[in-house]
Amino acid sequence: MELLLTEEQTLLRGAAAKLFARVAGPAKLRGLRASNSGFDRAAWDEIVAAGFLEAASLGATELCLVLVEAGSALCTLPVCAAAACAIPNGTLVLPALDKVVPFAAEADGFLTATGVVARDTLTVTPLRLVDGSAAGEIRERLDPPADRVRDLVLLGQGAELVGVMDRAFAIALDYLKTRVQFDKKIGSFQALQHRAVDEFMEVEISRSLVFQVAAAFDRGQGNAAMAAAVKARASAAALRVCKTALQFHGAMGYTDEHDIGLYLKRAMALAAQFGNEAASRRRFAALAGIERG
Amino acid sequence: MSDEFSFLVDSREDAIFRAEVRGWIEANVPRTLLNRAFRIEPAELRPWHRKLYERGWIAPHWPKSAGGMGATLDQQVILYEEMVRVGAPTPYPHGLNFIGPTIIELGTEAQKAKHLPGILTGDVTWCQGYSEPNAGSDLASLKTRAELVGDEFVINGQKIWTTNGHFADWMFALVRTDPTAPKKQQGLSMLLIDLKTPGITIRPIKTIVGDAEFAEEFFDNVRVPKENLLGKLNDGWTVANHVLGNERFATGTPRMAAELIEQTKRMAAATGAMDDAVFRDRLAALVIDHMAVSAYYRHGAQLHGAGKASPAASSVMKIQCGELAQRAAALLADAAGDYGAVYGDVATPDGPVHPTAPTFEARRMSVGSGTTEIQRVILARRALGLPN
Repeated sequence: MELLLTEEQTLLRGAAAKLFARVAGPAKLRGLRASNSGFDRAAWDEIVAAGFLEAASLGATELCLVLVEAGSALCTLPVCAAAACAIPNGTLVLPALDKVVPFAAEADGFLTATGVVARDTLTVTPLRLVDGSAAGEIRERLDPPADRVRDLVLLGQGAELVGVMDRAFAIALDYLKTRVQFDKKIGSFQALQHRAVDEFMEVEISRSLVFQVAAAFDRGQGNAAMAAAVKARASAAALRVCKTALQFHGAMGYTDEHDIGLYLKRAMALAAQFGNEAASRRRFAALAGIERG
Repeated sequence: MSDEFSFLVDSREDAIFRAEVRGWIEANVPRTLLNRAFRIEPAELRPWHRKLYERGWIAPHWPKSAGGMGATLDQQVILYEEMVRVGAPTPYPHGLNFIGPTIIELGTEAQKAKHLPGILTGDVTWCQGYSEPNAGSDLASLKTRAELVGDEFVINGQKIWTTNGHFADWMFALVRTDPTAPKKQQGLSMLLIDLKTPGITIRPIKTIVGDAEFAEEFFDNVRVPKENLLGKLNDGWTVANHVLGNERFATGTPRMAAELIEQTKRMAAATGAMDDAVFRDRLAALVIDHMAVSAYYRHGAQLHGAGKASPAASSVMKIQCGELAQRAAALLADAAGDYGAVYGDVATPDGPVHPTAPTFEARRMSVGSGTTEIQRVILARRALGLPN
């Protein structure tokens, strides 16, 4: 369902879509897979210059609008994590929410409970991720920053996942309407129609959840349980939608050449970072009072 | 269920209205009707219907000129939510939500004058005569014949799965008036039938729950005056689609699942199921999914209020609410452990909980008014544009 947006929000979304289409996208991502760091410095500078890291200062809804576009364009840069830290003047500061932090080796520092810790005071082991991006394992134990940072990250990742699954579903739907077997468009087969509807509902419900929770945060009624629920639900939905999208493509979906696999890999990376489905659900359960009697 | 995950955002006027509704319901709803495990028959519901009528709240979605409240969608949702919040039953939809609004839009002045007052007061109970033994999901293949002879339709055939058929005074029925029409959707008409008319035999059907929710009706040369035709002759399919579209969305909240989640928590605390990490994870997943469907509902209601209603929303809600309620019912039975097959209330410190009735009550949600499979076909065609 369409989102009810103000004129400013619609403009912001349009600007984000335009920028991410230029600095990201499947072709760019394929190039990054082969690069040393997986980090596109030029793209990052453009995103910073465009002011998208400050989207959170406008509101959680605005941040989510930007991140849906980032996800949809397969942008792997840590826009969500950096925006949640809200550290101005262009330094790349990422939240120390877990041992594994996306693009930790590229960061200037990490936001902890007691402020920013410079990266060069720490031991960071580089890791390559399934989607072609990179992360780093921080050897030292850091106290995570305030809950509101984690909440914003989990919500923002939910928005990115909505962008990823929405695009993957659109590609799969298009394939159902064009691919012919048994002299018929395969989208005319009821077995596939029902599965397509199931994935459509996953995308739609995830989008509504992300933006209703974002609106709740913007009203001052958001809470940590809601943010954890978003991450748990959107992770499960995106992985499911992307896997079904792959399946709809048959053998083509299993090739490296076809883009559909890039969306599944991106969903896997986002789902795993800063609390996967199961971890987010445990967090939700504890926050929502679903506890041992 | 607490309201913290329902994404409520009442405007100032709506908040005042909600408080008024909440206070009035608490003061006026008959205690014996609250939180009942099984559906309640129309006769027992009638005094509550009457109270809502006298307060002016029985038909929030009807225009004022027809005796309704002319309420906004938000107010309709508030009324509905406040009723289910305390476990109060909502009135049956067949008169108020299905045929009433259709008569208001398509009926003659005489039909409005004759039928609307009884629907509002609750004195007249309606049922929907659609399904036949060989016309379920494929409704348009129905065969009950109505032949225009002079000033009367003569009806022969059979209807089945009619909720409240054996309690109802009137039926709105889809019948075949032109068997020679080239397409099966053509040649159908909508008739308003007084069930006391000679030639009608009604047999209740005992359901899996154990009560008789629905009935079957046999029509043997039943004579119905011509003026009981609703809409145009042979245009019944259009009228029926009108009925289906009427205010489905406002009553589509995932509240049944919400109630079952609360009962599951009570049961799980009493039996010790809550000490099981696997159970807690399943419960958390259910609560999250309920939150997500609530968010979808609230989003849809906001679009509805802004005049941008999504045509897919009511089918999505129907599928989701049914599946959510069924999962909740299954988890409730699991939470009951070795009490999970008890056919009656089980005492818990927080009140009695029936561990098995919801399993059956929730089944109807994926079958009645178009199965979830048919809803998926509708979405595939209309929302996704997939080919035939």
